[in-house]
Amino acid sequence: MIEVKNVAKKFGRKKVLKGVSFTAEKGQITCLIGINGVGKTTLLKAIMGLTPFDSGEILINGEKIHPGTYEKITFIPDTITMLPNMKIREAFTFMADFYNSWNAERAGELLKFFRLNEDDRISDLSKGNAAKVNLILGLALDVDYVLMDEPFSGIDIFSREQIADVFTSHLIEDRGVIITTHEINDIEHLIDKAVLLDNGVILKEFDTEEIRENEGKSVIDVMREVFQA
Amino acid sequence: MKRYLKLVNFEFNRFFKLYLVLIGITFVAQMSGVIVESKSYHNQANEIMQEDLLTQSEYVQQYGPMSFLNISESIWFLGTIALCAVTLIIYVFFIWYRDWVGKNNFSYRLFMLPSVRLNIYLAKATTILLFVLGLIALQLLLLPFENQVFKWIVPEVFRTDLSVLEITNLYYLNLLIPKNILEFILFYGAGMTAVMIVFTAILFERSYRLKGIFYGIVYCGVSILIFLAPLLLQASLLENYFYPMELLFLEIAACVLVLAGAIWIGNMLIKNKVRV
Amino acid sequence: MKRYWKIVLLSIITLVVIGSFYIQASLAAKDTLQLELEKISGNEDELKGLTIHGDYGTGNLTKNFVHEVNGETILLNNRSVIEELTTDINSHIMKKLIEEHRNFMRGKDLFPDYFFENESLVVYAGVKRDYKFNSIDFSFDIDVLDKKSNEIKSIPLDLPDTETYGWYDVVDVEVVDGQIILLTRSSLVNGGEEVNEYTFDLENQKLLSTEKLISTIRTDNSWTELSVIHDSSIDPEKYILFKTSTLKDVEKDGYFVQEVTGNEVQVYNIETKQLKKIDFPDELVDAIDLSTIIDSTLYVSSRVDSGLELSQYDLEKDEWGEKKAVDLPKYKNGYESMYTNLMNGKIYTAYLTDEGYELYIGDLRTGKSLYEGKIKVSNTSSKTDELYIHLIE
Repeated sequence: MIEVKNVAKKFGRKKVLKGVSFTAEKGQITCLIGINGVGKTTLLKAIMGLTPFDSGEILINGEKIHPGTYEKITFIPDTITMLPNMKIREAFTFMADFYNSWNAERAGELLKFFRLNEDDRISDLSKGNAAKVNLILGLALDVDYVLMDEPFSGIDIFSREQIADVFTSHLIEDRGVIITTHEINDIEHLIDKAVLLDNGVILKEFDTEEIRENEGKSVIDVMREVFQA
Repeated sequence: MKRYLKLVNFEFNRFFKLYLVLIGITFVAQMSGVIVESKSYHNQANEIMQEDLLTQSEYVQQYGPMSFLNISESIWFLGTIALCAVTLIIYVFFIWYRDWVGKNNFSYRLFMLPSVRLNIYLAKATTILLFVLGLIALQLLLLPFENQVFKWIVPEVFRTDLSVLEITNLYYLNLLIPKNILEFILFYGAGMTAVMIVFTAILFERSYRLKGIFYGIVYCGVSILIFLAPLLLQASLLENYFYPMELLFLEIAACVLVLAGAIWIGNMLIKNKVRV
Repeated sequence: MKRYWKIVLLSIITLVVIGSFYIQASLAAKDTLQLELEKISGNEDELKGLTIHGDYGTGNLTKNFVHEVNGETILLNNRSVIEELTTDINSHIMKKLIEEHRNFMRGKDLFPDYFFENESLVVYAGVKRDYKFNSIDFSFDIDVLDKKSNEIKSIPLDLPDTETYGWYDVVDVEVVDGQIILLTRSSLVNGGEEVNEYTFDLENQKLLSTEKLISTIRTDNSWTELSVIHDSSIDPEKYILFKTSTLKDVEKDGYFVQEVTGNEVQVYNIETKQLKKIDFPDELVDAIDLSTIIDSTLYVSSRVDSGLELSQYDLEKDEWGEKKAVDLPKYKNGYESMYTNLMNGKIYTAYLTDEGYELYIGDLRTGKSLYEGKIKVSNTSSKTDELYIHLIE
């Protein structure tokens, strides 16, 4: 379980997170929803230890983040995290070199699924393909949690469909996923839990299935209620 | 340890092509220097001997012989050494900033590696050290060659022959290649301390951005002050209280202190404060 | 492993090249220029404790060396940067003092002139200079070490009228009958120089008296040059010599040249506080820098065609004695080809002959030769070489 407890963070005078708390379970897809600039990316970076936060606590499986945690949790940001002059193959070798949890077989599987060529250079890839490589780098690690930052933004429709397919596949199955988005359409039917974030605070945290069954509302209905209130 | 070595290898390969270019330029420029300087001395000697009707030994008496010093003090040598030095100094900064600049955020990957982050810091420092020492070794390898080429071009009567050791003893080369191994270690140890101070200052900037520039400058100032403290105290309050040897040991201690400070603060920053 | 070949190769090459360079360097360091003395006549014991400083030139390179006789020749240019900073080539006297009284010697200016040593005391008298905007504040820095009790007493003393002085320095320290005597030399801001004597009581560290011994003035076109001549030793000395030369700007063929219009040599007896003029022949005046005083006899060495000539003067009886000749038949007459020093009651001279340098040591009192030998340089591959000796101590 990932536990975010009362996390606050400011950049200069601007408070980006004002005491945010939520949890994300293994085996569930948790979606952080909010318009741009409300602190979603900052929150993910804070969970990953990529940006310090001012107060609060974040625990992953009950522990604070430490070097070994990166074998258990990974982050797929919206930019590619490998050197541009690397070939895809070289990027994979790098991952295999440093991560015990790297699953080369799965990386190959994903490569085939996305129809990518491992001799392509990362700098030559289209935006959609770069996003796919980025996704492979994260998903081919045998980790418990995957954090994804806007995996669908600025990508062509076919790539989106392919990426969305991944979510229903065995690749995700029993992992815990936290995903951020400002466009819920593509994945509304996939997510288990929604966390609505605005202006550095959590407005609502709810189980999508429950809301659908008990109140007959879609995620978008709830968003409308909450954000427009 | 294994991941540290892998990181060193990785950082090494990232600069290797440019490094080969640097080696190539050094080789070509210094060799050309040897040939051009030797030939021009020889030609000039022949010309003057013909005009003034001098014998070879008379010429040498009047105008002086040529030694390798004439070459090692020429722009061919100074230029290449300056080029290598400046390139490496720039790379001390670039080795960090290249992970942030541009579209590719390699810093994400680096800081998400399942290894103590201090390893990244140490690996980058090790890489710089390797490159520096490699260039020193290159110069030591080139010198005997160049000395031989010089001997081929300039006839014996016009030459004062120097051994490689004598050449390295002269002027600025003496600073790059000190006379004994102990001093070599002290020099390059102090040099690496300076590199690590800059690394930690860069991490200040990467952690606190605009404010970090200020912190970094203050940090550098404090480090330099601690490093110079024995010398400053000796010259002011203590009125030359310490003997030179004691002062040297105090300086070494101050340097070790500053180095430990750089690594400790660097570790705190890279572990807890750095932002991607 | 295959992926690491580049870095492994570079590391190995670097290690081997730098390593072998320094192995070679340390081997070569043992195998450099070596000075040797080859006896012609006399007793080799005379060489004990002697140090020869000089230059050795090959082609367009000059090597500076210090040679301890019967020991190592140290090439000063061969020292590493740190060695240069940490091994001071102070005189033997200073080295010995530091070895014996390490703590007392801390922070002192290491000039023999500032020190005095007898069987029970070491006295240091230096001048502290506090640099102000347009003047220097001078004050004495006097420390006395009792050798038996290891007790250090300090006598602080600010100098009066310090702004009128452009420079202030101690030229000699003596202890006579429980009194510390400092002879100072100072230049005045308005021109001219002074020699002052300060007398302190050793027991209660009080200034007893000050006395102006010599003062010179400067006028528009003439001035006086002052030389203070004494051995740079820290042992008790009884006499000190002052030479004053009056110079004048004279126009000659349209150029101004300096002309000496008068010389005066005086001797000061520190014990009796008596300043006396010495009747000095003109031809010896310039040689006075090469002089020494043994008991109450002043010896002056001057260069002549056949070698050296020793003149002696009895400071008590005020009369010149007979001259003694030091014949150096192989001496090649020429500027800078001879170095002479009078010390320890002996005359040391290194001079150039057709076969290289020779060293002569003679007894001043008897004028007899004690040692003669050749100075040879070995371990050099050079074809053209030049030796030049500039200090023997």
